This record gives sequence, C-alpha cells and structure tokens, in this order.
Amino acid sequence: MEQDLISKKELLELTGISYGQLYRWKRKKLIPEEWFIRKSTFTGQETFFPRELILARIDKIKNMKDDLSLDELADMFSPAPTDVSLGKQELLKRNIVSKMALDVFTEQFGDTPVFPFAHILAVFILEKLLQKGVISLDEGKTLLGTLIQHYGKFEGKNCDLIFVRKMGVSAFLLVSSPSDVYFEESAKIVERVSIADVIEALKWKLS
Amino acid sequence: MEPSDFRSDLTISGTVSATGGVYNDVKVRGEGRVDGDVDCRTFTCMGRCEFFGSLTAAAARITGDAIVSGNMRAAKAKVLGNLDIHGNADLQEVLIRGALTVDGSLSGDELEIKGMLKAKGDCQAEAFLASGGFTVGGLLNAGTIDVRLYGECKAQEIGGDLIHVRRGFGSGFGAMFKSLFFSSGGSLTAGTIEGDDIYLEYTKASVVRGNNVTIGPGCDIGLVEYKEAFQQDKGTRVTDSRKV
Repeated sequence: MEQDLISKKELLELTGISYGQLYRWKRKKLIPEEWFIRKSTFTGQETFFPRELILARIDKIKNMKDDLSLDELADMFSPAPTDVSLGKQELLKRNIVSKMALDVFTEQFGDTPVFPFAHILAVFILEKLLQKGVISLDEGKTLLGTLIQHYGKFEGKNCDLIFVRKMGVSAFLLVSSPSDVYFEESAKIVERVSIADVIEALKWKLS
Repeated sequence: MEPSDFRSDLTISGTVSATGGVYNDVKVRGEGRVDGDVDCRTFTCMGRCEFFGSLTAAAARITGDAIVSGNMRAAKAKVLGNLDIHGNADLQEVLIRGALTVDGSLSGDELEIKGMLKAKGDCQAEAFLASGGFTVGGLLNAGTIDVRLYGECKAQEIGGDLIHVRRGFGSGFGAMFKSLFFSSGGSLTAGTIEGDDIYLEYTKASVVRGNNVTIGPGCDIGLVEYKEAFQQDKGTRVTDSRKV
C-alpha cells in the first residue's frame, strides 16, 4: 500500500513547529515510533511521516497543549486503555453509547453496575458499527464476544478489528496493527476499524 | 511496590546461586548468579553478579561488575564499575563513572556520563550531560544535550532542543596538565544533528539543521540548514550552508 508521505522538512515548514518540539513530542510518545519512516534520498537518509495522520496529530497537540500537560496528552494518544470505569447511567447521560447498544451488552453479559474501560470500549465500537448500519444486532453480539474475549491479549498494543462477510456468513477478526491481511476473492471486508483510533476518540469523550 | 516489611534481603557473599523474586535489599559482595526476574528496593554490587532475567530496582549502585540478560528498570542508578544490559534499559536518573553498555535502547530522565556509555539502539532523556565517551547506535534524543569532549563520541543521529558540544579542556594550567595525559581532546561523529539551538566544536557530521546554528573550531560539516542565524568559526569546514 503506497502511503502519502510528508518529509520532516516539509512538515516543519507547514506546521511551524521546530525540531526541538518534534523531538520532545517523540520522547513523550505523542507521536508514535511507527510514524517515523526512514528512507534514503539523494541527500542521504531522510525521515518521512504518513501525511494525514501526522498533520492531524500535530494540529491536535497544538490545540490541546495549553489545556493539558504533555504527559496527559500522551495518555490520550496512547493505545493503552485507561483505568476509567463508569456506571451505566453515566454512560447514557454523557451520550457515550446509546441504550440500544447497552442493551445488547446486558442481554449477553448480564447487568453490571460498573463498566471497566475494556467493556466501555467494546460497547462503543458496537455502537459505531450499528450506527453505520454495517452489522445486525446478532452480529453485534458476536462482536462484543470477540472484543471482550480477545482484546486484552494485545496488552495495549495497536490492533485492528476486521469484519468480513462471505456468502452471507460473517466473521470478526482482531489482528495486530500494522499488518496486512488478504482474503479469498469471494470474501469481502465490510469494515476495518483501527482500535487505536477508537480508543483515542473514546478517551476524548471520557475526559 | 509493596511495603518493604514483606520483602526479605538477599545477600551474596562467596559464590552463590540464587533465584529471582521480590526482595528488599540485594547485596553482592562475592560472585553471584541469579536466575529469574528480580524486583528489589536497592541493588548494590561490589563483586560480580549475573542476572538471568530482568532487574527492577528503586536504586542501584554498581561498583563491581553486573550483567543483566533481560531488561533493567531503575529510578536511580550509579555505575562506578561495569554494567552490561542485554535488553532495554529504563534508568531515570543515572550517573556513569565506569561503563554502561546497553544492547537495546536506553531511556531516562537525566543521564550524566563521566565514564563510558554504549547503547546499540536509541538513547533518550530530558537531559544528556556527557563529559566522557559515548556511542549511540541509533538516535540520541534529549531536551538538553551538553557534551564536553574528552574522548571519542559517536551517534548515528542527534535531535533535541539545545545541543551544545565543546571540547573538554578549557584553558589555563589545568587544561595543559590534562592534555599531557590525553593525546587528543576528543571529537564527535554523527550523521545528522537537528535541534533548535546548536553549538558545535570538533564535530564531524553530514547534515546539521536548526534555528540558531553556530559551528565552532575543528568541525567538518557537509551541509548546514538554518532558520534564523548561522555563524561559523574561521578554522572550520562547512561545505554548504543555506537558510530555509
């Protein structure tokens, strides 16, 4: 997959940040290691970044750095779960998930007063896919089962959720990210969700 | 960490093999071998100790030889002897008067090097203060990089806010006295050096990029790219420079 890349020099010119800031943000893990792509050019080794990802990230850092410390920001961007737990009422009140998505969860796992982060995440992803209209309620149950049973095994490392359909039969997969997966022709990837992106979005909502 | 009341001490004198676990103070006076991961409050090594596993300590002081086959974490570490870490090292506050070798990468808060540091991977810290020698196989990334050149210093790449590299011997009698014992005053070799405020002496690098760049005596730089200001000493070589 050919990505649209931006060189370090162009990035600094475009965003107006300095080398010092870029290296500081790298040290604080505000910019993930995988985004630093080394390539040899005619001027020697140069560093490139995935254009859209880095520009969006730097924009966010610049907007938020007055309100949050760099460590707090790093926490927001990290794919590791936080130790937030919320009650059912609060999840609904703060509009983090809808009642319908929560009902699917309680139907399957029983009624629990407090949701740990991993469960909030699972319901949040379910909500997203239901809203998009790509999965049915029954498939939603399988999705929750997959996430709750297997997500913890990634231990906070990046992973993607892939939803495939073949001749009306559906399946969910969790794969570590970045990784390439290929399917036979008759199978269709309906949806690929980067869990890291979802976690980031969820963390903003929870904060 | 749990309260130290629940932890017991491990003392190694003579030749001893021990197993890993959670300890209060680990002291090595003789020759020891520890199998399994160790988590301790303090680690003092005056003899020789080999850890087959990882080592976590609140404070570590090595006057003898210590080898860690896995990763090492410590809030404070003083290396007066030799410390070899085969994995990665996370040492927040470090003083090296002897030699520290890390096969993986080294991260910390304040690294002070008065002896020798070798890191095969990257090395990152908020403050990197060196007046000894160092070799960093990857990127040396620190907020403040202050290097006094006494020996050979090498890094593949250097990045940070403030990067100051000066030759160690100042002037006066002390410098003359020291120069009798050290043949050369030391130098730094790096591929690229990037930072906001850069001052270099006796440095060989292919590219230097920054806001304010000053190239002092004894340098050999391929290309300087600067944003605001650039100054160059007379007796130094800069093949090409441009304002960007």
